[in-house]
Amino acid sequence: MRFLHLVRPVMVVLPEVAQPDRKIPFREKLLWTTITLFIFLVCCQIPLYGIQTSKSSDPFYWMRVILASNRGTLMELGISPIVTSGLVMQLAAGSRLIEVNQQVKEDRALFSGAQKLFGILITIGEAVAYVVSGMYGDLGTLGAGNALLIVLQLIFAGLIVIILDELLQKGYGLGSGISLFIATNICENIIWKAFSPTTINTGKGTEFEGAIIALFHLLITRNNKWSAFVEALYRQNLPNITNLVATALIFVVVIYFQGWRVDLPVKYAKYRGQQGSYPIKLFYTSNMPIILQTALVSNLYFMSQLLYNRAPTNILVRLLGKWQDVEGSAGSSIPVGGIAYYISPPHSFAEIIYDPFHAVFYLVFILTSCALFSKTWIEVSGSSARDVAKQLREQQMMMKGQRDTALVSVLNRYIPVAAAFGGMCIGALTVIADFLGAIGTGTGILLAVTIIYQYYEMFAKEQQENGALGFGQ
Amino acid sequence: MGLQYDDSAFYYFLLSSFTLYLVPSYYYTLKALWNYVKPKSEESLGAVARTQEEKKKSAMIKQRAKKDATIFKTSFLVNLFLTAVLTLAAIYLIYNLSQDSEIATFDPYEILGIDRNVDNKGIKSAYRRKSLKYHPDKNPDNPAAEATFMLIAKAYEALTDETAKANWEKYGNPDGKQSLEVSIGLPTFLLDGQWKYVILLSYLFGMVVLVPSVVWFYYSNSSKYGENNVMYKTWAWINHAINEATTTAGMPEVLSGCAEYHELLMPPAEHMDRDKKAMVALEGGLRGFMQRPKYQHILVVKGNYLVHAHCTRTELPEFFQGQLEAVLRGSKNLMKAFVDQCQQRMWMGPAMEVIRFNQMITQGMWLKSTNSQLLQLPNFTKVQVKDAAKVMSGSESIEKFLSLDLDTKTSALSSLTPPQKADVILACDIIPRISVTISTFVEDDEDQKIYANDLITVRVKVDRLNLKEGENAGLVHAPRFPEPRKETWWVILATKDGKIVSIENVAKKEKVFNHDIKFMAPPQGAYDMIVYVVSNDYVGLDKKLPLHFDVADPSLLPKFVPHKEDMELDEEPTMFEQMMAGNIEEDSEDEDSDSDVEDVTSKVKTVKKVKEEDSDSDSDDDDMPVLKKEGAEGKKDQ
Repeated sequence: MRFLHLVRPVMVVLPEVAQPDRKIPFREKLLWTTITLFIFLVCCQIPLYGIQTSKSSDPFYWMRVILASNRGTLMELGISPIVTSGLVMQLAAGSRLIEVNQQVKEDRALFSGAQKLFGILITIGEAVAYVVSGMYGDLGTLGAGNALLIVLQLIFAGLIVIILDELLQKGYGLGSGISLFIATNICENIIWKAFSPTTINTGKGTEFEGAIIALFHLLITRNNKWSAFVEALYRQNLPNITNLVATALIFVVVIYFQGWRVDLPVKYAKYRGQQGSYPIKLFYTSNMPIILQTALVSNLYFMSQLLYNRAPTNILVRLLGKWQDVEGSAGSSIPVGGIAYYISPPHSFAEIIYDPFHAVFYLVFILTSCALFSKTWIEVSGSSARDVAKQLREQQMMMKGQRDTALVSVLNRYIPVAAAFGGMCIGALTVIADFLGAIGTGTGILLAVTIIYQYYEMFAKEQQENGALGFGQ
Repeated sequence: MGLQYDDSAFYYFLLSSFTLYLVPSYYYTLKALWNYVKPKSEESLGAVARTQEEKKKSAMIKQRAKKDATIFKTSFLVNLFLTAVLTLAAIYLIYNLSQDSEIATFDPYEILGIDRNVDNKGIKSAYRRKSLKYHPDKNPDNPAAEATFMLIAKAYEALTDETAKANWEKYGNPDGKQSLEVSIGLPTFLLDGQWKYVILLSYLFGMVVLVPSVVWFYYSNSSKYGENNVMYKTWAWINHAINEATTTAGMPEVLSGCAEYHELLMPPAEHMDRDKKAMVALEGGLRGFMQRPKYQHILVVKGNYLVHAHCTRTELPEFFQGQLEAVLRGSKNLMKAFVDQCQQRMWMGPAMEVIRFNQMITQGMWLKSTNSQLLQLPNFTKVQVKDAAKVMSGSESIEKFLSLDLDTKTSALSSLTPPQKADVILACDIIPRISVTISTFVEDDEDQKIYANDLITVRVKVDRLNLKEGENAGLVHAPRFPEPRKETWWVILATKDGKIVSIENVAKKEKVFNHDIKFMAPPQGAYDMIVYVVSNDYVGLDKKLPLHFDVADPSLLPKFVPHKEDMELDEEPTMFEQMMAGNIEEDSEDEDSDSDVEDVTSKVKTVKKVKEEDSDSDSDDDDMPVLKKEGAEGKKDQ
């Protein structure tokens, strides 16, 4: 019996969003997307009931951006269950561990049902793991009742995320829930850094955390308006206006590069007359290189921090990385020695001048690792020149005007270059973003821009087809 | 989180929020005022008057634009009020804050009231002076003076004591490094015990009542509208009212019955009598031109009369004119829906009837005795039509008239005054005559003959003969239609027995333009179809061309043979197969395991993934480039 058929009895119990019975007009899709966003944002702010402490060091600090999660809130798990289950199911289907024929409707339904079931299982698993590992306080002090409550809250919130994502993907909304949540989290970060009313008093006087609020505050309270303005632009301890400008600049640069691509004209041998094109973008592997690189680095950090906390005097551990707590930001520490230090970004201009070797090493590391990850990823994910050539061949497609050249050699002219160079560009953009002090990590901005650009393209297409957004007459 | 709430910080936060709202608001307000005072250019409004007859329409459009100006909308007024209130609040805040602004930095020079480059002696004497002034003995029961006295002492220490001086320069405070104190700029009353129920209730109200009701309200309004911004009720009505036997004569009723007009056409109780009387009065004059009405509902009857009055150029009482205008304005969108319906059912005949109806309401013409095509020309009445017909030996075709040379034209206009004559000549340059050529082929770089399963391209080339080289088409000359219209054409491909293969509205402005019709080739054989190019706005300019093509047997095509190198790709094993093979070998033969592992890692690995469509996986992992198919997927203009 096929694996998918095992899922069938569970399908009855799985919560599901009904397929829309009509084509949803664009306005309505916008409405549903906004509501989903609103619910997500609200859940991100609701703290978990019953947790003892969220002050312990956050082991997933580096991954928060990608997982769209907020520490200590209902959205603690973020989208990690959906992403993980999606990844695993895709791999399983791709490697033929699970037999699924995407053309058959029933198979597709079963496959997505299995994916959802897997997602729910992962949610339950992660929730239990988080509580049991003591992230919310020692199990003994929490008590069984509280622990159970926390697990239930996390599971319920995770379920909501899964259903919301399905709502958007079934045609009620624009795009997918995952990209929406990631982009939201990043934008939320940016908005917070710009407008936060939190104040910090270092003894020199009150300073606002939000860059724009601080601008107003400084301009009003300081007598020397010019120096106040300069301080609002350049202050180091809190977000400043140059950060915002840098963020905007990076946005623009990424949007510009998004459009770089080579369109290879292809045609079907069976269905003549149809014009097709196979686009090879500069960002061929999109954000994957930097995601993989971040994952690698964060895992390394995690291990190094763990080891350093247990055995700070061991030579090998010190070689891997030495850590130091950051004042003011309870719970996060930065590497100050060892390999972990050299692969971490330098924090300011002064640091670069003080230790130029670190800066150069970091730059070279990022660029090469991104290029390498990019090239490896195309092999693993099945988008290398060979895989694409095989696919095109199986669909009986040919390059227009190139009857005598093999598909594989034409593709080999572009794909490896795009992958490597695109990966390097992504890496370089991340470094520049971090260096200029853009808000959110470089990874975050790249992800956000890619997603926002997709939404913009949807808008533009809709405008073209239906006049002005279809609002009223 | 245990943050302190800080009132004075809150005022700064409030001030900045106000400013952030006020800046765009001022821009918006001023722009709206400017737009009202300085009227928009005629071109952007679409109100260019080329002939005398168009002047009236141009004036009407300009007047409507002024009436609909942003500054009269409620939202604008509300915004204006809000802006004014907030500006006052902001000024008040700025004034207050600059009065008692805390000393943001601890500046000992300022506290002692001396310049920066005063020497130690000067510092000492300033200290003595100030401390005498603020000494607690001299100012009993004055806590402010006491605080200032302590500040003075501290300032003196900061300037004279070595450690204190170093501390001040480094940390801004002579007492050394202070611990961080984090607070938040929100009003303290939010934390106040007596307000807590109010605050909780307002949160509850906002989240649970306000937001869902706004959503529900918006949704219930927008859920009435379906595709193309046409209400669902209207779609149901169209489904019922348009059928294979639809004719132009029956279209006014179809238009009037659309749900968008229900509120507009329904007379309120106080006007019911007046409306009914007016309709009876109209009936006398219009009876000769109307077919027997199919529907008796007052809305449809009234709309029916209005449209007929418009098309027969009958004068309407004033209270009906506004309603007629609204009906005509809404017709642009609804026509598309009507044609859509015909397209779905592939009815060629009804589609032509609908488009003809559209032409007629644009120009204000009708059937029977009022359907002379020449009435589209300005200042033309029955008299001029007769004159022109004489010149053209009895024909009343507008195309023939347009193709006459200038002298012949002028001789037919003897009954008009010179400015009126000039108008007619001008209009003749605006009204488009076209010539159409078609070519049929398959877009392929190797073989352009048509075989079964191909995607046939029919290239329709349209040349506007009234324009000169490089000129673009302007707006439609339709003085009777209350809105500016762009000149568009319907390009239709239909079979001989009246089935639509493709129907599209083309809005290109150039003198010569191409439109490609794409459709799948039918099975092998010879076919005769018809291509129509029909105007959306003028009567009598339509063109009809026969199309013949042969479809050959696809087995005559050379077989698809992939390139040798592409075939060789199969011989590379997939990554998983390699790993599996490596594993099995590893268990049985330990000595060879190393070399197998090396083999696996050194060869280029491929993962076999046959995916023809984007399945529902997450976007940041699934970056496989998707093949874009332009062509039969959607009917797109090229």
